[in-house]
Amino acid sequence: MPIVVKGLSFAYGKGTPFEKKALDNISLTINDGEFVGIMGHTGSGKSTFIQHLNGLVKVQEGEVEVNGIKLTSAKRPKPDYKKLRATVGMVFQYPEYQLFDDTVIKDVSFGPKNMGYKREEAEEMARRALRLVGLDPDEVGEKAPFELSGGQKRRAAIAGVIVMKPQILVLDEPTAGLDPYGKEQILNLILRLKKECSPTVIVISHDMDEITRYASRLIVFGEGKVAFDMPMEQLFEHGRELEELGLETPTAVRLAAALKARGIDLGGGIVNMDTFTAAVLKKFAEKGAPVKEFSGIDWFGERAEGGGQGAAAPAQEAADDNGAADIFGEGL
Amino acid sequence: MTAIKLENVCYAYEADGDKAAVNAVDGVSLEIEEGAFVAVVGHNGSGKSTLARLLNGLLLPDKGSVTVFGTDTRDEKNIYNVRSSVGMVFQNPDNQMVASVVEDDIAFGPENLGLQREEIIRRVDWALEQVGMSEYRKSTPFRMSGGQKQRLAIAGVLAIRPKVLVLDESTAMLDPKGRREVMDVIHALNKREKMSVIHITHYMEEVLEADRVIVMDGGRIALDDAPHAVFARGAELKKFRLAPPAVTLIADALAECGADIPRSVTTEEELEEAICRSLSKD
Amino acid sequence: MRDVAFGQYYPVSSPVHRLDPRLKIIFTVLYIVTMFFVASYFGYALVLIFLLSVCGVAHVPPKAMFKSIKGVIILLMITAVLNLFFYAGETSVEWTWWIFTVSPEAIDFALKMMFRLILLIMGTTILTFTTGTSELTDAIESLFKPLNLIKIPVRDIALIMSIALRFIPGLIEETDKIMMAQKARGADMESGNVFKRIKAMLPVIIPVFVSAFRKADELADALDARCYQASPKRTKMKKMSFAWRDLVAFLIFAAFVTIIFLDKYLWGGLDKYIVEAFNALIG
Repeated sequence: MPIVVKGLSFAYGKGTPFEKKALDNISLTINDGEFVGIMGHTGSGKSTFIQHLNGLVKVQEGEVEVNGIKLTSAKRPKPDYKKLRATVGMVFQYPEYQLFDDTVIKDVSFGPKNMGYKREEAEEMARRALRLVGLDPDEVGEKAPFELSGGQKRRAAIAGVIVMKPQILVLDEPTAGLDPYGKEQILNLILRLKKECSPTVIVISHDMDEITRYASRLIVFGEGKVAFDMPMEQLFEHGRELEELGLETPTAVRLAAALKARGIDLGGGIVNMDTFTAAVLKKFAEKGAPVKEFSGIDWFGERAEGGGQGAAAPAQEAADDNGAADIFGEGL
Repeated sequence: MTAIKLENVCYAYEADGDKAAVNAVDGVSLEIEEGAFVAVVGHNGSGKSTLARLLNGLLLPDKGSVTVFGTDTRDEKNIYNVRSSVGMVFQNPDNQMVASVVEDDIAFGPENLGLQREEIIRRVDWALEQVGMSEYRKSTPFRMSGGQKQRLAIAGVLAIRPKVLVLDESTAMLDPKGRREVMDVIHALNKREKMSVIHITHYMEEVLEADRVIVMDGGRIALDDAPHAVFARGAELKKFRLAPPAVTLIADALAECGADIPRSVTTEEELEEAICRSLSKD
Repeated sequence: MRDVAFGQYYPVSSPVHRLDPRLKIIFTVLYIVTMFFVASYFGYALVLIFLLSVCGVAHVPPKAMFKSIKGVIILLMITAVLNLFFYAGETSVEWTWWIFTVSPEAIDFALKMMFRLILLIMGTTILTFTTGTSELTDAIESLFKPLNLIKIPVRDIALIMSIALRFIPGLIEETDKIMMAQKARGADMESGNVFKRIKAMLPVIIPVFVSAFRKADELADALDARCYQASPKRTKMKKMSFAWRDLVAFLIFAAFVTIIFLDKYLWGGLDKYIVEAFNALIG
């Protein structure tokens, strides 16, 4: 069941002298199985928007429907928040800052315990979640969260969210503050979670080059409105407007435009570095140059299958080799 | 002239429970020239931040020595000379401000130095102008964007009139626009005021804008070269958990698949040129 | 939590904002004292008019001032009710219903108490609306300077206060964020009895504490990097000095206080004349 948002508006400090409009008449639909990237500068309303999906802020105007659970400004009927929060998993910025319990396993099982599962059940779910994010529950389970390394902490925090097997996973800048390898690992983890746990993924990101490689659709927020929600190729024709919203076009799109100006037309469909590289290689092949088959840029050699609009990367249903790639090399 | 000189510097944080003390910085020797723009990269835990804190005496070396314009940072009497010549900006702008009004915050450093009122005002004016925030003098930073706040944090450091500016992942928490603002400010300071800049970052695009890159790994200097030369090393970077910028990634992938493109390309113009040249051959 | 109006600075430029903050603090203290000498409804009306005029001059919408009562409205109601039913003074008539006894004097007393509290809060809010935290701490520092003589580090205490005040909004934001994160994991902080709720707050309180320490760590580094304690004699950029406008403000305030005192001690509360005039009119 999709997410349907109709006429959603929201203001902070409503009725006070500090009132600030955060969302202004947002309407959109996100379908099952999509990988949506949400972009926009700080204060564009994107964070407030995703908070609505989980009922974390009360709807002031308009309507949000998630998997049939309706959120409106009306007091009654009271929406089933428990069910909603089990359906939508939220990974906030720097999620490791929310760890609080004295052992990792207890922290990860916090969600299921809140949902009314018994301790044993909850801890079993936690163990499964830890394995899913690439941590070994026997190794880290009894450790205190602060004993983990930075990257491990973030994964443990993500485990604490996906432990409920949410159908929709929302992540707010999941790679913030990580080094390049750490970023790649988290992005691979998200692809894996999409395949094995949460079929619909929504990611807030600031990195155009990165998000275009993973997402199948981009929604751009600006001044509390949906500024753009269209196929990526079309979106990047609005380079100047994107710039005004503090966003750049992807490197690949700029390169394609520059090449076109010099008489090399790579054709349509170029939205990220994978599609660009594939198109250039095709040109080389047409020239008769001996080029190898290209299956997507994979610097660290650990990229999981099933990227967004990757060159040869198949859609998620094709990659079904039970997906147990040991992406963190730490044993499952 | 040499601004900062490190000789065989070691530093270890105190042992924590059952974990033995490991050198966070392990035998680093390094010279930073006046007016240089140096980027420092390395994975999380490679010792970058520790290195930064050694440069202005926030941390003192266990072994070896750090000399700032001829003064050893262990020289207690002169520690404030060291700190006022090496200004340091941190990651989170919210955690660096002491006052709720911009000008009061900028004045904090000069006030600590015990300067005269007129001189403080001059410095506040100058610092705000350098970061392009003069009009916000009387404002409160609470509702500003990340980029603006970080520019103010830089101004707060500039007011102590440092000759070297160290930025410890100061762009990490900003959006692309904020990052651009901060980068523009530090480049202008480097060019106009001949200020040395040491910029610690995870963003390879920012590294490209430096004159020199130091790659840290395991508390040691793994590479120390021009950005172009560092990224030309290709697959070797993986060892240090680094990835080159997007353009180089594309060039590398093209070369990997057999296209005649040099792997060391770092700018869009170069890559464009290389593709054109290669495709128009024969 | 973001809706707390009390203690917010209202960043506009006005003659009231530009007044010497030390004078504003003294005014506020005197205002609080004066409030206990207001003897009549006429007096309360005068105080209200005075506050509204100050709002006008300060370019602060009166609505913002009235908002400041919102947070304590329950407290106000409770005191009013208690005053109404447990009035211990002399009474002329008594109306009794079940266990409740009410008299005109009790109503009078309860009303006056409520007005006093409301006006106290509104008055002090004007100080925080028109004075930045750093101005406030500077002023306090200046007013308490004599304590330096008995070796109390007034300057450091003022800095600590100013930093504490500056970090409050950030910590509130942080608390908000972590609360959301835990709610998203199904934490229920809004139902159950007091103990249950306190226990439910732990997953929020612990991370906020950790975060506060992390902030403090980075702040300590930032203070050191900006040469805190470099010179034994810190200087100040801002010099607080009396201006003509301070004198004008002082005269206006003195006039206001004088009328309140006249009303109490000389006129014995203007209300009774108003009541007499009203009676004469209808009778």
